[in-house]
Amino acid sequence: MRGFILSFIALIFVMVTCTIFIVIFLILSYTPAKITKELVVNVVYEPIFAQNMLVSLLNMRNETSGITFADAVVYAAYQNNVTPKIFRNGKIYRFDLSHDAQKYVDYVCEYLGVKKKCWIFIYDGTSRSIVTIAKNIDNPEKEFERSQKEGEAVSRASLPLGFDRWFVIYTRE
Amino acid sequence: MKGQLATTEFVIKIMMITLTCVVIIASLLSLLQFKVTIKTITSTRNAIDFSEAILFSPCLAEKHGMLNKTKLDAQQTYSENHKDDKDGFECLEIDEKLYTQVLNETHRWRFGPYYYPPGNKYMYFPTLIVTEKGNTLPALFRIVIT
Repeated sequence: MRGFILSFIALIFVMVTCTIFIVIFLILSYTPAKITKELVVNVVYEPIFAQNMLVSLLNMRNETSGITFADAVVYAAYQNNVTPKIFRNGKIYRFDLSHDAQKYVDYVCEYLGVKKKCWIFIYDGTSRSIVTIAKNIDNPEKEFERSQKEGEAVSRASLPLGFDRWFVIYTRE
Repeated sequence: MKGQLATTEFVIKIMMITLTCVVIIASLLSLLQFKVTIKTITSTRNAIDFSEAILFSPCLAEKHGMLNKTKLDAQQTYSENHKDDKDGFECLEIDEKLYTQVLNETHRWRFGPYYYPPGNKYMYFPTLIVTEKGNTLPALFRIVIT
């Protein structure tokens, strides 16, 4: 009699366990994962915006000197100065990173349908220093720190400039 | 006593079979995690994919992130002359209607069917326009989510 009860309990255990797993299996099989608008916008669109912004900005060419922003960023990193001196075609030009970057931010981030908070800076990981190149908000450091703490979708695109030194773009809706 | 031992062995065997079943089913479930099907919000997802394709397309771009003004003018003319073309681009062939624009501070290039669908939303992609003289101008690529 005792053996029968044990066997019966084991049988019930097996049936219940298998039923639970079969039900979960069937639910998952017939309910594909949903890609929500929030996921698409926060995970796909927002990073693309920041990355496209970085790629385009780096390709910007100064009208007077013909020097690209990408070249100027490299010179800025080596000279540790956001207005680096660049020798080109027999002349020495002083390229103002902030001027060109701000021009880009003022159009791309401030357009009526876009209205994003944008911040462009050079970050030095060794000294933990930040040099702001362009922005369209006051106190961007505090603003983006707060956004990240509150779990808001902050997008970042960056270009390495050397050991633990980065050219970074932050954007936020 | 012998009967009790046999029953215990039987219970242990049953438990082993159950655990094996659980492991097999759990493995199948973990495999299912890789199956991701886009069920909703396809229009937003499509708009992003289309835009990325257009920003790379040889009929508009010099390279990624840089649109050529001469090519933009040519494609605008093409779009005006081919009203039946769903996207308005010579080098693209898409089944869905695409409403797109390239904007800068002074100019606007429009592609696709002339009338925009009502109550629409836009997505914007930062880009650059390269002029004939080689100057670069900040610009935005805009797509209507239908």
